[in-house]
Amino acid sequence: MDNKWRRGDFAICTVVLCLAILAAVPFFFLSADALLCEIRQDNQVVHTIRLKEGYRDTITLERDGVTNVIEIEGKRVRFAQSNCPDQVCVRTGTLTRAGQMAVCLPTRVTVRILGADAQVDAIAG
Amino acid sequence: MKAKQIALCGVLVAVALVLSLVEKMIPIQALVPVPGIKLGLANVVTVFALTRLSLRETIAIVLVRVTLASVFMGSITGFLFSLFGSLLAMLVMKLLLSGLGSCFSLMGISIAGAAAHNIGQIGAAVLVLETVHVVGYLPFLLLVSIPMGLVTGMVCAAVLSHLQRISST
Repeated sequence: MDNKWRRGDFAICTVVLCLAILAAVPFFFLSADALLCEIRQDNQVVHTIRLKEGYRDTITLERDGVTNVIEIEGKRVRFAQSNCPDQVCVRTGTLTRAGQMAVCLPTRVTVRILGADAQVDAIAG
Repeated sequence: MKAKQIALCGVLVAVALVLSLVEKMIPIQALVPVPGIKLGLANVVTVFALTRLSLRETIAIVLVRVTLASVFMGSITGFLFSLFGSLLAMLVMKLLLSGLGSCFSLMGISIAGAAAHNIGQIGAAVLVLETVHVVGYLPFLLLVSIPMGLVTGMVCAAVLSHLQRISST
């Protein structure tokens, strides 16, 4: 039986390669893009925001006359303003990576960035 | 005639089992460290059965081979994975074999079979483990299925041409 390489074999290889790329694509997006910003007050989740490029938002939280202004710009989150006496939250600076956290004690507000892995683990576990 | 065919099926199952035992000795996982990777020499038997026997007999051979292989060296989950993979590979190759010689060579058909086997395996894993996360292995497995399918396809061609010479004399 002759077993020469035929035109259809190239088609098969191309299809297999395309399937491999297709199966890989969602994982590149998942690991790189899926960052969540979780804002809690009194340990209750008040906002959960999916961070992505081009997204802007400003969130204002208040307690006992103290106001926090949290600014979300793309994949960067920071306390832009606060009229609390210690200013610890503002000095924490900008959060960009999963696991980072900023806290304002007078208003009992915490801002955390969660990675996609945390979610996947929750499903897999 | 009937008894001869049953005997042939038995011989083919035995050959497939020996081939899966032999390929366990080839340390491919040392080269490509992805779980579930193997040469797939048992595929040669499936291709032979598809070209020489009916679809019913081929399905019987695949079912018995997968069951016995997991009894001898696997686990229950491994059984499901290879059952899905083997049946899907068999179906894909059955469809492609109609174009053997004109559109495809045995190497191309084997590559398609290897890829289908991996897709079926991962599909079973998604169902059993209930996560989509295992799909992450699929790109590697599909890439590797091209060289692996090439090798088993060449073995297939050698086996079939020798048997043709034997049966024609």
